[in-house]
Amino acid sequence: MTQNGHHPRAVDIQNISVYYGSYRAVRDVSIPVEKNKITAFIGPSGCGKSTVLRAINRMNDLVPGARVEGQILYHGRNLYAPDVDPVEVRRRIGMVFQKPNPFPKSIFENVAYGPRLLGVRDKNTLKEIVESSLKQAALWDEVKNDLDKSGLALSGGQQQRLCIARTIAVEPDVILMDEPCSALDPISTQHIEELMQELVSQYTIIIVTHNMQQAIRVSDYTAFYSIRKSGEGKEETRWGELVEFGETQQIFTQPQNAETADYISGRFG
Amino acid sequence: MTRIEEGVFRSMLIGRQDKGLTMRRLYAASFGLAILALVLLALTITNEAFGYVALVYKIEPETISDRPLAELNETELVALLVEKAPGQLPKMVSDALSPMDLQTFARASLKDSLAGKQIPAEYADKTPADIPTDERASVMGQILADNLTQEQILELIEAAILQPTVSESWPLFEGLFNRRAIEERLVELFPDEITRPELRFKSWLRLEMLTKPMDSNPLVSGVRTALLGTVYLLIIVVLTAFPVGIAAAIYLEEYADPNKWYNRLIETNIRNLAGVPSIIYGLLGLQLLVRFMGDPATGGLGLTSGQAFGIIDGTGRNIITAGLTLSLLVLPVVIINAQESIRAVPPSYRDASYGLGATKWQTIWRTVLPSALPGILTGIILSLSRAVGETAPLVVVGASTFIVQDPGLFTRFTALPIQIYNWTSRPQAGFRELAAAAIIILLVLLVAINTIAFVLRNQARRRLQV
Amino acid sequence: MEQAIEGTSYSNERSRLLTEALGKRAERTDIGKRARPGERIILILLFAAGLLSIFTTAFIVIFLGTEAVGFFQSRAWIYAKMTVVDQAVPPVSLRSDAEGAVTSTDTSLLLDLGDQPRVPLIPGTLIQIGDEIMRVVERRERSIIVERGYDGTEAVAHEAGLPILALKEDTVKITEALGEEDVRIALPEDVADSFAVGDMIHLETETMRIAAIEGSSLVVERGLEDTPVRAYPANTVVQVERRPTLLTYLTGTRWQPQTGDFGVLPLVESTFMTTFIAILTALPVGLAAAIYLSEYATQRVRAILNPILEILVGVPTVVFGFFALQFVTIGVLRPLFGVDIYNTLSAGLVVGIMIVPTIASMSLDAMGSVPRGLREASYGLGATKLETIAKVVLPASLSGVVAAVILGISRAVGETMIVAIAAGAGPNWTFPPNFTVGAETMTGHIARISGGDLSYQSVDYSSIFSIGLTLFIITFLLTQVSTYITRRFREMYE
Ligand SMILES: Nc1ncnc2c1ncn2[C@@H]1O[C@H](COP(=O)(O)OP(=O)(O)O)[C@@H](O)[C@H]1O
Ligand SMILES: [Mg+2]
Repeated sequence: MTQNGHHPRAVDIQNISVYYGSYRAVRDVSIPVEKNKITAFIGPSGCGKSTVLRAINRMNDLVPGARVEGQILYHGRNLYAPDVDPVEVRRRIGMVFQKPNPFPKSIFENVAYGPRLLGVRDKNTLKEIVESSLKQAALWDEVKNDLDKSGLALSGGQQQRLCIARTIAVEPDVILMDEPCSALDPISTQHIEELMQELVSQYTIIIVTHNMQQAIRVSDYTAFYSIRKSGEGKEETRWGELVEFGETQQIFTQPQNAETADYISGRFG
Repeated sequence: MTRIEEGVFRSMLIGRQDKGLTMRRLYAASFGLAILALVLLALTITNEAFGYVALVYKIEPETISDRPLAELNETELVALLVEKAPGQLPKMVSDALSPMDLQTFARASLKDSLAGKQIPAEYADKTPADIPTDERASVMGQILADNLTQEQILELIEAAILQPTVSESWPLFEGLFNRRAIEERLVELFPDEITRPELRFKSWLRLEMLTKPMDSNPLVSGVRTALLGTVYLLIIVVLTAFPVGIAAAIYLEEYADPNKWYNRLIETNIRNLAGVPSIIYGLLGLQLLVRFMGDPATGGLGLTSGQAFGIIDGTGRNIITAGLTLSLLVLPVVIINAQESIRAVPPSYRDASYGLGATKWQTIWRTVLPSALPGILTGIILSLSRAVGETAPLVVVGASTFIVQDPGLFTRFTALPIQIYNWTSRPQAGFRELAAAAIIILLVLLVAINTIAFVLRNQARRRLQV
Repeated sequence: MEQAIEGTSYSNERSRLLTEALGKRAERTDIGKRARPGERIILILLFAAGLLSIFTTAFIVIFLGTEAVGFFQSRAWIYAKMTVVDQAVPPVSLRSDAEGAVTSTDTSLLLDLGDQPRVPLIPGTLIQIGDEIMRVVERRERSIIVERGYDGTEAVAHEAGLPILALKEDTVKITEALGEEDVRIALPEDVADSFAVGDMIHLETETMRIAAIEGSSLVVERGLEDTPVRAYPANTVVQVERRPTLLTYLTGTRWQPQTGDFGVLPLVESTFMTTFIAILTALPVGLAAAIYLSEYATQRVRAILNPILEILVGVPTVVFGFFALQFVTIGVLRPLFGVDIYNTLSAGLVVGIMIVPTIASMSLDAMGSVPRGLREASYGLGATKLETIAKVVLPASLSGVVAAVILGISRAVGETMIVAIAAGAGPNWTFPPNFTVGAETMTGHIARISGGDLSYQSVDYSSIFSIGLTLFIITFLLTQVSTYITRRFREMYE
């Protein structure tokens, strides 16, 4: 805990709107993300969960024409301030993607990729980092004899844990996970969920999930998004909005908003 | 509307299907034609590269020996050499037995210059120059007789004394299937039976061609200088076109904003350049590299002709200008292929890399390029194969046709396809056959390049996958 | 809980390792801007690499353009020619009997050869009877066939027994010595008329301009263009200036720039002759191959056949050139049709083989993009496969095939080595086109002329660039048209 800042919130999303070109995909989202907690984003497909998530580590900068209005505070500092370096942001706010995407390299090289980027050259240091990351990602026992094997040779669940190991190898502060289990079987999903429970003592985690059960199982806070429409026919525009945010317990037992209630009881979406 | 009777319809249908079958065979036959063309091409080359010759000798074998030369033993043969070509013996020994060149050989003691060979003990400490002139030939002859086989000595006699030249030559199949006509022609050419040359089988493709320089006598000419030229050209292409081509492809695929007019211009331009005839690149090379960057004596900068680097007699018509011209020529192909390979790299790899805090260049260098490598390699091989066979631009920038010295960077040069072109266009007997032999060497080189490439690519691909 | 403690230790361990290895860089929350000059430099380098292609094109256009302009400013000094009676030819006359007389339309002249039956009135010789000039077309034993009213003279009737004068071309020489101060050049009779006021002429190296023509003399301005004024003896030859103009360049049928013939047509003609033969060969073969691959071949057959096209692409053109000369010409066409050793037919056929893969693969792409639905509709109506191909697939992919053919034409026009080896060395204008004789193409000419060490100032040097520019324009336009058609075609089915 030593290196963590003194601000109680790791990430504070304040009233952001995200544009793709002239299309305003998400409007006015505000979410305070508590340190060392798991925050889940839920909502129907296309409501902008991924968009907001990718705004947090400025992955959207890579999409031509994408733009964020409002601010996201990271330990009190606006991520979109001009003096902020998006590359540095991504190092501290790591990301795990929906489809496991190991590099077409060996398992070792996959995990060592981040530390190498930072400039770690010493072979022994790299080895130790790789080992501790794989152990923490609960993959070590399965791959310790095959570190030279391609990351692509692993099963889907193992690949996703490899991606998590790869992310924590650079010791990020926040980990963003975009539907990390949607491509996995139930057993692998369970592995990942256990892993998240374990990682949260070290990291702040934000997870997008399609699966409400998963949100209930793993998260401390839940943000529920929905799609709004206006206009008809050709004039129709759609955008995502945050409907409700609160402790997971509260969202799923006493939703304040009728739409939330509909969604969690399966009457919607 | 008239109803077609069932029977009529059926017979018409059969007719229609018959016609279909005929056409189908015709379509397939187009490949027959393509295959036929390739087979004929191969046969033509074989037919020319091997064949029959009538050799006439400067000195007839019969006049130097009563018995047929083939029946003489080493000592008798060497005696002929000592008698007829005494001055050439030291060179023969040096060429055949010593790793040294003639100059060094003449000043080194025999036991040094001919280490491991059989030498007369009393001369071991002497240098060839030390041996009195009247003894030198016989000592050298002795060394030849002791160390060479009878056949090797026969070859030396042929080259030094008999000096055969091709009087007439016939392609392989004519020699095999139309012997009578050839013999009649020989009788017609040489009515005198005694001087009439023998019809001999000749393989124009010889292994020594690789190591022998060019010669005006097709019987002994090699392709060493041309082959070296081609290899140097390839090295220049590899060193220049590939980095630049891949860099341009990276720029276009990873950095360029396609909405910017200049990026679209670059993109279209590259596609247009790929369609420009190769001879136009030759003109570009001639004007830009040879003339303007070449010889200061004709107003150039002296960069490509070497004056800027202290070379005195460079003209700019050299390996460098030719190599750079070929580079410009293959650049569009390299770029287009590399672009396609880079485009095929899954975006998820890039996301993963950026997500770990990689900069753009780190992502490209560590993730995109390694994944695109097999495809890029394929394109590189394609363009190398093209560069190997390109002739027209080399002709235009001024490749020479007759080069005996191994080329340097700033010297005059030649290349394999240039030799083929030149030999094909020569009317004298023996040169077209030589061209065919050179074609076989060129094709072998092409196959070798493609094989290496294929292996490299598969390795790279395997590394990327499991 | 135990696991969590373990996790903490892993995490702390890594933080320690990273801090050790990187020092302050391992700080977790610093997200300030970093200067990354390397990234910037790399971008600049990469951009430069992209830009190189623009320079390549720019240089091509500039060099071809400026040298071509230079070509049109170049000039050749050629000997002025006049027709004179060839004294070396022994006297001949029309036969003196009644049959010897000719009307104004007769083309057969009966000869009285005297005692010299071997008078060299070979075809092509000009002869003069009275005032009329005729050209010998054919020489018979005791007669000649002529073309009447040559050189602007009028065909009239001639009496029997008139002498026939053989004419020859001779250089124009001054008849009197010319002093340094003189401005009047005396020429043989009738010759001065063939000059025009304003023409530039040369005596040795001195440039003069004709100011006036008086009788059989020229009045000139001397020592123009800073050339030295000298005295010249009688019989100094007169040279006249020839300059290429766009008109003579594009319409002239002789190409010999050193001697003032600047017509590019012979080169263009043979280029298009070889191209024509090439397309005639490649279109049916390439198209049939494409149809077979697209409509009939199974996956396995394709895997066998595709490499054949690839090998064809990989054969260096100089090897094809050898094939054209050794096999197609010497092995087939010569024994069968007695063609010349160099001819456009053989070169064209082999260029055709060379472009088969181009046409096949582009046509294949075109057929591949014809929607399945169209084919199924045709089968659904009871059409056989062939009918479907002929009535549906081919028409639907027609513009793609056209684009392929145009690209094939562009390749054939730009091909050099095959034509340089097999089509002939020397421009040759044949009309109507004769495919059995040698004729140099544009590319073949550039290759041959640039083969030697050309002086950068010579007409030859600038002339190959002007041919290069012509070639560049032709191929560029063809490629553009092909690309345009392909793009339109793609849009149609998207
Ligand atoms: N790269 C992009 N360019 C343009 N529009 C996009 C892009 N990514 C997402 N969108 C749009 O933004 C909206 C939200 O998408 P997303 O964030 O992926 O939703 P979710 O993850 O909740 O399913 C959708 O309407 C989608 O079409
Ligand atoms: Mg999503």
